[in-house]
Amino acid sequence: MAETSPFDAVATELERATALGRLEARGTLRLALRAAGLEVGQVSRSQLAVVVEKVLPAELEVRGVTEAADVGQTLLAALARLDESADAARPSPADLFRRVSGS
Amino acid sequence: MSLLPTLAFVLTVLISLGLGLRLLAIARRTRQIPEAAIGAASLLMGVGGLVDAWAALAAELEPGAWASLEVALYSSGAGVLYLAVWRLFRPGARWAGVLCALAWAGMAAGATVIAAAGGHLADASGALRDGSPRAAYYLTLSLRTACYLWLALEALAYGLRMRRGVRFGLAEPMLAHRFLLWAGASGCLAVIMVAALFSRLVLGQSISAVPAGLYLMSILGLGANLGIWCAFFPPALYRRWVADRAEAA
Repeated sequence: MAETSPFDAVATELERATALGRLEARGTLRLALRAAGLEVGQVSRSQLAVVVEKVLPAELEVRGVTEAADVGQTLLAALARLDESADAARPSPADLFRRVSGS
Repeated sequence: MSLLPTLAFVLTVLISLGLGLRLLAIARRTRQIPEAAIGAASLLMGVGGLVDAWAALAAELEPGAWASLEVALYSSGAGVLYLAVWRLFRPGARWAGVLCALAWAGMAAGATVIAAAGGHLADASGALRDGSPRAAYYLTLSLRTACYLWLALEALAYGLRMRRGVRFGLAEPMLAHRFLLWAGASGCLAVIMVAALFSRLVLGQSISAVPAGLYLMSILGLGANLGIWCAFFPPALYRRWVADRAEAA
């Protein structure tokens, strides 16, 4: 069975927990990630958890989703069920500066 | 040449060489392409600068050969920098690999044509000679300019994304600032290259033969190289300034 990415797991759960369609759920999540300076392909489980807590509620309210807090809890639970490998740090350009002389 | 441009040039070459050697030493330990490529690029540019200075001081000794060597060094440096930008910012993007391959081919072809023509590009006044391989010269200069522009845009985009992440605790303020500094410095180098192209195409002169151009190149070049040094090896004062700003925000 293919490993589910954190993004796919949250997007699927968001679609289930709200009236948003598949494209709309994924699009809303992408916008939230962009607002937080993250990319879909590189986001880890812990980063996505921060986005779900701090950024996504505002995006959901704009789309008329009520009880955004409850939805957030559902999404966090979905993230918690993921394999630990979903928390592995993805390589990023920032690694260059960390290797050269720290943060 | 007056004192300020000379001093700026010497410091610029020293910074390039120092940055190159230091990054290559780090790359020996980390075995990662980005720092190895950026180190190599910086070293090649620094050596290119030395050749530039030697050619200016001892121009009567085989000037064509020195000009060919200079073009080869600067083009090689830019070629390695293209690799760094690709592997660092767009490692999975096929278009970036194709772009690099085309740039490498273009610069190699241009440098080869210039060398085959004996490297006799400019006369004593700095103007391109009649019959010199102008197309090859403009090709290599344009591709080198494009490299710095690409680096500046990628570093800027990444730095701005990181800055958005800082608000939510998803990115470190110092890292975001270093990318923005690197973007600004690379942008300054791109401005110098564009000015050099403009000077050749419109004024028919080397930028260093135009007084305002010489000062622009000197000050921007030195500032850019200092900026790149601070981005890679941030001094304590810079770190403290960024930390204080982050705390105040």
